[in-house]
Amino acid sequence: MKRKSSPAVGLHVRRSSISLRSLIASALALTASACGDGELSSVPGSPAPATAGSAASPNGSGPSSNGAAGAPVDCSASAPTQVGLTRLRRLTRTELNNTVRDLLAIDTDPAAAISPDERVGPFDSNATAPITDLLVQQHGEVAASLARVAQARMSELSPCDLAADATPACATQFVERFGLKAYRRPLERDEVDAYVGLYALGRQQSAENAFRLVLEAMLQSPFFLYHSDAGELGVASAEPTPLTSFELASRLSYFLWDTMPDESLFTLAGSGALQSPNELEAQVRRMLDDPRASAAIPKFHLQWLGIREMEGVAKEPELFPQFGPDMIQALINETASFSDEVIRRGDGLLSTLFTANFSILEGPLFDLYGVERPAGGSGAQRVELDPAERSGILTQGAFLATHAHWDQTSPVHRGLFIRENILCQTIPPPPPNVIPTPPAPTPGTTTRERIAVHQSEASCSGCHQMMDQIGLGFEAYDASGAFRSVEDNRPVDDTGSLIGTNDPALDGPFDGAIELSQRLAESGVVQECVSRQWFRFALGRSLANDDACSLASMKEQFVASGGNVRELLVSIAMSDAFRNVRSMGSAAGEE
Amino acid sequence: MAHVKSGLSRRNFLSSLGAATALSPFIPLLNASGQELGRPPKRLLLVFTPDGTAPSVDWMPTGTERDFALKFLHQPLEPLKSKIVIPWGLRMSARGAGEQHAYGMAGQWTGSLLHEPQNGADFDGGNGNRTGWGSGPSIDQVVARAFGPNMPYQRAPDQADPEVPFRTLELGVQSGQPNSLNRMIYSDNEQPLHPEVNPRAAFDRLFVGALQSQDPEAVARARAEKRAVLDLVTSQLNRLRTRVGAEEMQKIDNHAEALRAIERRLDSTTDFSACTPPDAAMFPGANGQRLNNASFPTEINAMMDITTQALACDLTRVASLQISRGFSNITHNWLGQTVGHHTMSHDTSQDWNPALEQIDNWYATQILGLLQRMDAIREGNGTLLDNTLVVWARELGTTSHRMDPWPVVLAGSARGELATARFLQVGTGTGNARDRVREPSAKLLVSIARLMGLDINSFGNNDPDSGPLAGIG
Repeated sequence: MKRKSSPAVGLHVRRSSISLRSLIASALALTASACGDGELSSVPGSPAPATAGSAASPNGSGPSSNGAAGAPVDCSASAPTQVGLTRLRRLTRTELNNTVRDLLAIDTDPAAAISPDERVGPFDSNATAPITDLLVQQHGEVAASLARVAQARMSELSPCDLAADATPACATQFVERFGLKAYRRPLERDEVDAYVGLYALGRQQSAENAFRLVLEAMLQSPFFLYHSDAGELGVASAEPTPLTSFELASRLSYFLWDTMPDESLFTLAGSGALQSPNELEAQVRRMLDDPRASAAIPKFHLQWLGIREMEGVAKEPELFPQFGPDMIQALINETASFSDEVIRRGDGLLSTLFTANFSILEGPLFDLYGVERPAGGSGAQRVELDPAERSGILTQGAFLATHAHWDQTSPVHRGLFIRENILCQTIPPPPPNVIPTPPAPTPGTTTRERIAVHQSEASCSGCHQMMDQIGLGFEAYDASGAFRSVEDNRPVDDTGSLIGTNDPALDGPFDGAIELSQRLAESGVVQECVSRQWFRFALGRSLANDDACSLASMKEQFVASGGNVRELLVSIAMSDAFRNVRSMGSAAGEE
Repeated sequence: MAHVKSGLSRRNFLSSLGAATALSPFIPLLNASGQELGRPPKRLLLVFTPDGTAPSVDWMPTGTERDFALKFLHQPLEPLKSKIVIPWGLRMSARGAGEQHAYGMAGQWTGSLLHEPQNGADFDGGNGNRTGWGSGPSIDQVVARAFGPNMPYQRAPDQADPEVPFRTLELGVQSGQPNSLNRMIYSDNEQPLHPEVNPRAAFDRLFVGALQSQDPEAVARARAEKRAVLDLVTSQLNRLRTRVGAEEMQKIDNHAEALRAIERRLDSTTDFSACTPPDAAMFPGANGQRLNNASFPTEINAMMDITTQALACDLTRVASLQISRGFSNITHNWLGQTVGHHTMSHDTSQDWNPALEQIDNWYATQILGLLQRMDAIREGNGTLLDNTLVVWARELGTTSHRMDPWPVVLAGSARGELATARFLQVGTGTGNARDRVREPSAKLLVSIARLMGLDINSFGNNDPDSGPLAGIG
């Protein structure tokens, strides 16, 4: 029963009742329809920068595009506002932790007791999974536990002395003040009354007990647990409706800081000033300059690049003895610090993200990258890297080690990742009776040779040329992310080619990951994809057809700024999709 | 949901069941807690361990139905051979979007297909595929919603709630984030249930009553306060309801139902003197300790303690324990291994079969531990195990993605309904034999329901109207 394969065979067909002939026939059919056997379906709309008059397709482009989203959309100023369906999103674990930290000064990872988050694309967002008995139970338990701990800080968290002042006026003051922050909006009159009533019940024992009960209820209230935007109408509507000022303040702060609004945002929301486009833009810039933005920007990059999947990953211990938990943490820290340095403190350019010759290294990374630790420094250090070896975020160990097998590289996975997450194009899955098993790294062969069958077999090459030919460009980095110039005692061949990207300037052969990174850095297709990714991250939901105009305006401003990610983030916050809610109606085109 | 063909509409099913119950002469024999007088309750426990068997394993027992020998995979179960049934020759009634790990997870207990991505659910289904959620309820949920004579729940039709605090209990060990590869229990179409994976949290929730202050006045006051909190939260949820469109109303409904269940549990009384709450002091996850690969075995032990005592204390009568998840890549360091389970299953650089068989054997040893825990608890003339039906299954037949023969083991006799100490050969032909005969696992799911007292002939939409598995129930 043991499956033993020739090392030259790059995939393994499950032995089943399906014959090889029928497999190849079905694979051919798939190839012809899906990857076009190299002849790529053209993309509706233009890969050139979208303009306000011609919206970009919200549904990705390239091989998988079905053309359905290509109908022209009127994005002129006089056209009615369109935004995708708003989902009722429960706070993610990090949002909950950060909010509790800012609300109660308790920083103990309370969200560890909540079931794990779901994802929208690569990003954490509890947008679609059903609410279950267990989740509600867990949130209730966390609320009760936090309320008990917060009792010790009662005097700081109340504007009046609850212990000494038993009047309803003091209780009301406390409920209104604390409720504003917990709900991230002012409480309605009847809500205040309900909490004051609960306070009175608890006050029969003590002020501390009453305080605890109010917190326990507020911290499991749906208005605390959910992003519950309803817009200025305050009721569900099928029409796009502007967010209230408080809802806008929350969207901003969870987008850029991963936590609740600060005092300034609450003040601007209270006065309504935040609705002014000038003030909104000024706030986005203030927030990006604030160190709290270091919560969201590295988080985006770690999630976008799939790097958090590296936690717990092991590498073949004899080949990569240095690869362990310390290395993984250092690699994650590197990409996190680097992205923050480029986007927030540096020039902010996407091209710098892909081409920078510097990085921020710590611990075992100096050895991994073969650079001297700067004298006199401990901890993380900014260092210059050999420009012949490294070029930006895709040549960092975190990306390279995550997208590799445990004992060898994976051009397929690296290429597929670039295709899907950097170009926003999809490759159909292999035929159902193919189990992708990497060929063993047999001595005497290179990785390139072992997957050559993907190119020589017509049934494979249609799709695999879309992946492997990109991923082979990373062959100068082994499965742990270390640079290598030889594999199996032969010089590494890291040439590759880009095809079917819908960007003529991007298509064509390239020599290694450095040239690849440089090409990606300048591509309009990459800029559009990065716009989409940030949109999903910012709104915690997929793009839908009705977001086409928002996406077009974002990308237009992104391109106009020379690919400045900070400007992209400003344009996201200014977009219709960000500033409006639509709680009923079509979700067509959701990715 | 409309396009999913189901042999059984939940509403019709429940109403017909209710009618049958109303005519039943057995109802008056219930005591105050809804339990048949003098009989311990009947229970159902589903247990999952990951991946298929090593491709090299031939686990079909040798011998005859009543006189058989266990192969290596099941040898750890030898001490309780008299209390198990091993059916050989099932194929999984699992299909749909994604590849086998994904639709095997969704289908193993539901017999229903895994949706393509839809309604915002869009998950990695393995091997480059995308999926949505599963399309039907799992068998435990259907059993737990039913009530009547000879069922786990026997409440009268006019009682809204079951006679225990937790209608069902979903526990897990490192079961991962919510996606189709990681979930196996569904309350309904596209309604997965998440397992609690923190042993300490599960313990606190289940056994808090055993630890509570005995001062009745303090207990009553605490309850009144909790109720006031829940009432306020419920009123806030009703306000939110007006702000949400129909598309998201299911979340509000689920949330409201959960609040109601929590409130109901405030009033439930459990006699903890009849059982032994587990010792939580040594549980992993206590004091904020992080759960990781190394704590996997101790987490399993803790969850097995909790599962056993939750059943023994009558906190629930229908439970599931999901150990790891589809695509499990646990590294079994404690067996001297250094490579992840799933990585080995598809790596061709060496012969991993011995290591994979070692894992199979280890999981069987864990299952034995669970069964022995249950068999050590006396109930009536038998044991907790005797009064339970335990079903142990996996999301694949073999690690090479065969969906047959499905390695499933039944244990316990469901309060005398199931004759044990049997090897039940329901199929013929090994491996890829063209003339091999397999029975759909939907038949086993139907049989599980019948052993639990439900009168059904069809379950799930993959193999509808299959009828039961001959020789089981």
